[in-house]
Amino acid sequence: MSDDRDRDKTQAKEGGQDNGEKKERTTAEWVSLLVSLAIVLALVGGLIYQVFARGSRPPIIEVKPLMEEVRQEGDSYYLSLDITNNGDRTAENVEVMLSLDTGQGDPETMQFQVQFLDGGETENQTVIFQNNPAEGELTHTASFHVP
Amino acid sequence: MSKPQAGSWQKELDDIAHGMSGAFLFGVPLLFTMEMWWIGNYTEPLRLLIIVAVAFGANLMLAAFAGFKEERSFFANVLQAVEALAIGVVASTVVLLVLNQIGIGDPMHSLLGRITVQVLPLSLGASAANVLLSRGSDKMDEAESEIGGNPWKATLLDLARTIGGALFIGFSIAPTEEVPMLAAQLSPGQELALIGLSLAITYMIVFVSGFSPREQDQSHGPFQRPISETTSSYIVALLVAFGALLIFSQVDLSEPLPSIVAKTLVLGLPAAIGGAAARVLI
Repeated sequence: MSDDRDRDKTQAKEGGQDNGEKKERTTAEWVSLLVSLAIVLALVGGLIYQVFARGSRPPIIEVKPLMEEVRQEGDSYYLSLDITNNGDRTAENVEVMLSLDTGQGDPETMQFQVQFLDGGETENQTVIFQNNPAEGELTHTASFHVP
Repeated sequence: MSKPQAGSWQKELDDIAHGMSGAFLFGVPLLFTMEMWWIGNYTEPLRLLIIVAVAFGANLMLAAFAGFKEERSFFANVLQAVEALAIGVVASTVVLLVLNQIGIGDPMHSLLGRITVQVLPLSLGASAANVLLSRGSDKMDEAESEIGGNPWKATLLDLARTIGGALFIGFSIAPTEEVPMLAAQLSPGQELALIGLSLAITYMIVFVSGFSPREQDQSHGPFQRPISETTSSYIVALLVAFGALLIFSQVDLSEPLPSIVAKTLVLGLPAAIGGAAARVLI
C-alpha cells in the first residue's frame, strides 16, 4: 500500500510527462536499482583496483614440504606440501616433481600438477611415500607455463 | 504485463526472478565449462573490464529492443542493462560458490576473474529470455512499427540483433580449446567451405526455415535483402568472433594472419548462427 502511495506521489510530481510512455519508478524499483548499481560498481571497482594494484612479476613458485605434519598410515608416509606462487602473474600447469633418497635403493619419485596458481595463491597437496620423508633427503623441481 | 493492483515489491521480485531464470537457462552451460574458470584465472583485469563493458553494451542493446521491463527511455534502458549485469554477477557468484569453483580464501584476482567471465552470458540470458518467452514481443512490435518504412532504422535494428546473437553464442564458444584445435586442422579449401556453409546455414535460418516472417519481408533496408543481409551479417558475426577471440586471448595479433583468419572463421560459424537466430527470434 505504501508503495502504491509512493508511486502516486511520484506520478503526481511528474504530472504524466512523456505522453504516458515513461513511468515513474516505484520504491521497490529504486531499491532494486540501487542494489544492482552497488553490485556492478563493486565488481568494476574491484577490477579497476586490480588493474592498478596487481604487479607484473612473473610467477615465483615455492614448494614447501610440511615435514612436521608427516603421518604414517600402515606402510606409507603421507607428506603435505604447500605450493605457493610468490609472483604476481598466474602460473598454469604447475608441475612439481619430488625425489626422496633414503640411501637404500633407488630414490622414490613422485609428481603432481596444479592446474592454476594465481599470484599470491597457495595450494596444498599430499604425496604418499613408502619411506619416511623425514629420514631421507627430499629434493624437488617444478615447471610451469605462463598463460 | 503485471496487474496495476499487484504490489510493486511483488512485481519487482517477479522481474528479478524472471531475469534470474533467463540467466540460468541460457548461462548454465558456461558455468559448467572449465575453460571459463581457467580464463577467469589468467585474464588480465583490463580485459575483464572490457568484458564488463561489452556485456553492458550488449545488454543495453537488448534493453532498447526487448528488455524485461516496460520502460523505454534511454536512461531506463541504461538502468535495465545495469540490473541485468547485476543479475549476471549474482547468478555467477552463487553457482560458482555452490560448485566450489570460487571460495572466500581465493585471491581477489581469480575470484573477480571467474565471476566476471560468466557475467556476459548470464546477463545476456537475463535480457534475452524475456524476448524468447514473448514478454518483449509487444515492445518489439512497437519498435518495428516505430521503424515504419525507415530502412536505416530497420538496418540498425537488424545489426543490433545480429551483434547480440553473435555475442551470445560467440562468447560462449570463444574460450573453448576446440576453436584453435579445429582451426589448426583446416586447409584453405575447407576454410572456403566453412565460409560457404556459414552463409548457407544463416540464409536458411532467416529466409527458408519458416521460423521467420522475414520470408515475406516487407522492410527494405540495405541490410534486409536476403543476399546482402546474409553476407553483411556474416561479416558482423566474423567481427564479433574476432573480438571474442581477442578478449579471451585465443588470438594474438603477433601470430600469423592465416592462423587468426582460421580461428575467426571457425568461431564465425556459431557466431553467424547466433546472429541469424537473434534476427529470427527477437
